[in-house]
Amino acid sequence: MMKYQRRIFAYIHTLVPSRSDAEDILQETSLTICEKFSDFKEGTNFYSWACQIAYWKVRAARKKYATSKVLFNDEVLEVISQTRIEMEEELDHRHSALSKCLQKLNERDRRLVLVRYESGHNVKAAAQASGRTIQGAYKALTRIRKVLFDCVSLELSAQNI
Amino acid sequence: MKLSDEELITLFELLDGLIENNLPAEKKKILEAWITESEEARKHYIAYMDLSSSLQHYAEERVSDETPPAPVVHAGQRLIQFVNPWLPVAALLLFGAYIFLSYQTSDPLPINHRISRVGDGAQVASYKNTEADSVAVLTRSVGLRWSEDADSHPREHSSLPPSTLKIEHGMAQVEFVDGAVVVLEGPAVYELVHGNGSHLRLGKLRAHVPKVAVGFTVGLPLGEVVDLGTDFGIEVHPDSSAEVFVYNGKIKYQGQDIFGNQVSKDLTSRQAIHIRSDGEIYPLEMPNGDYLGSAELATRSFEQSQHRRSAWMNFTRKLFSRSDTRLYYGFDNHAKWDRVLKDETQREQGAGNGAVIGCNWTQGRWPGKGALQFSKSNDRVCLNLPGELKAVTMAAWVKLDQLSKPVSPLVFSRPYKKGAIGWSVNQEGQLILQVCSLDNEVNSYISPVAVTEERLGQWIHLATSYDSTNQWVSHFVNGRSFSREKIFNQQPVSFKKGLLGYSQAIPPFQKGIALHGCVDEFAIFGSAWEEDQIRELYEAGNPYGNSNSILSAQP
Repeated sequence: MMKYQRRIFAYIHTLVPSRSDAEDILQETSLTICEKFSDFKEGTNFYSWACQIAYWKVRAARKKYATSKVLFNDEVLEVISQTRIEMEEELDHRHSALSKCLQKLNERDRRLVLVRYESGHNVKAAAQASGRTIQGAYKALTRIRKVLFDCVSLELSAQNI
Repeated sequence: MKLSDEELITLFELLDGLIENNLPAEKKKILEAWITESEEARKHYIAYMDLSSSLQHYAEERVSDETPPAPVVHAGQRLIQFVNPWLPVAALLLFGAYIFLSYQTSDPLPINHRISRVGDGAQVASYKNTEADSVAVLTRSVGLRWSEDADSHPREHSSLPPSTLKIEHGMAQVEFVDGAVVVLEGPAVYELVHGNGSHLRLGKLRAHVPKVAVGFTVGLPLGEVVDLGTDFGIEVHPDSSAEVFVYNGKIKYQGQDIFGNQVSKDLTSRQAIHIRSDGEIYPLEMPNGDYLGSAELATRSFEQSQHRRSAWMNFTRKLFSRSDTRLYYGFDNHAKWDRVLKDETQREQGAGNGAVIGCNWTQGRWPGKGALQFSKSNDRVCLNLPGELKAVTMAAWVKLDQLSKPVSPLVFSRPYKKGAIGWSVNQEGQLILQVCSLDNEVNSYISPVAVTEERLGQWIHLATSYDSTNQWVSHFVNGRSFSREKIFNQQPVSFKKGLLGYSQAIPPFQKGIALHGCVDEFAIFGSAWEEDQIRELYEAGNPYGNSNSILSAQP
């Protein structure tokens, strides 16, 4: 399950943009995977099976918490999920390419973005760690994410992916 | 429909707002429409959100790669530098609050359970008030060996009541509840009098007294040192003579000579005095070297703990290949995001791996070693150990944050029917083994009080052996046999689909019960281990060292 952990979380996070809500749903999903593991047929695709569980957990969360945890309506969730599954291979490559792109950032920017994404941290913590104002950190993060996004796309183009 | 450059810029603005959770409702609708109608926008959205997940992954990876460096002490550096005097005070206040709350009575055990043995009530009561009069905490030690005639042999992180500490050799750091921090170097005899007062009868100490603890006193054979906000050192010799050194700040020495005359001396930074055994005082040159301070103690403590960790790793490797080792979780070498707990035994590859649900990785018994923190109501590790066992030994290193009501589950089988096993600590701190012999009958084997309130927050080794053939069950605490008794029947047990750190709802409990604490080693052996084997297991993994603390009256 370890190698799928990140991918299942990424799948949920695509459907549920709030990180903490996505983590809650990941926990519920893991619990169900554990309980229903005997239903999983060996030789079939574990990731797809787990994503099905995750998908229904997201749908259930939407009913349970109204729209507080899940931003999108069922129709939007459906199309996102479908497209995401089609993009899995590309997303794996993007994940690997991101590692290279992070190394290309200058130290201050890399520190800002990684501190921002550490568990339990927010923009304020990242701003303090990189010696910026909060407003400055927001602007810098927007710029850095776009730089990384473009860098990853270029990496994939260079590899003909 | 291909998005224009302007539309792409707008799309990325929306995505940023979404990630930072500040996207207004009307813009959310625009984004929804885009995602639904434009495949290109949808793909950008997915790739952008995936980038966010990947950044999270790399950020966590970076954190887990950052091993905390050993403290470095430079020559001339102020030695006592990291102690926050409020921390022990706050910890004790919280602890006191916990004790107050924990006096609430616990739920009775299920009434249909057959209880073969119950802890001695007097014993339970005697543990209850140990925290109430604490004046200090033993926070760190290196190579510490207590004198054989010492009244007590406290372990690291123990709360200390007014008492006399007798150290044969090694060093100990004591933090007083009022804020003073003292490093003792053995051989030493040191009396803790109250939260801001003590008496050094023999040996060396180094004290750091923050402003909140000004007035801290150290009694000497012929007088006393009253601190006025400072760092100072004292050495008392067997003939009652002594030296006092002031490294920083001010102190006042007041005493008597052998004729009963009052003697007094104020000392400031870099001043020292020798107090003769007749009570007369003489100025002394400050020595070049300082006494051991907290930072040095931390460095030595770190080195020693790494040495212990390495010895533990060598020992446990032998366990992996034992034929009776059914499951062994060392909780070591896991990344912070790992959701699989590796079984180290040589069973079929990965067959014994556990699924980590909810728990967070944290530091274990040594710096750099992992452990799982169970803190939320759903935290658990799902494990699978097929087959029945006629004899079994369970052993774990645990650190309990609290004695939960009704129990702190260690491991429970699922489903809870014939052959199922439950291992837990109840609210009184008693170790309990429960075995289902029939679908509706549970036999409970309960030790005397094993986990006292003073042991909360400390690593403790718990083990229980069950032998259905010879019909006995034994509980062990910190490597020592704690109780042994006959069992009711010859029921083999099973861990099939077990849960570590969690118990599902078992009548009469209405809901599942979660552990509140950390686990950093857990093993199941397919035979009933005797005390010498458990002792060896404990000593190999004891993070506090195996000095003569084992001589303590309590296991």
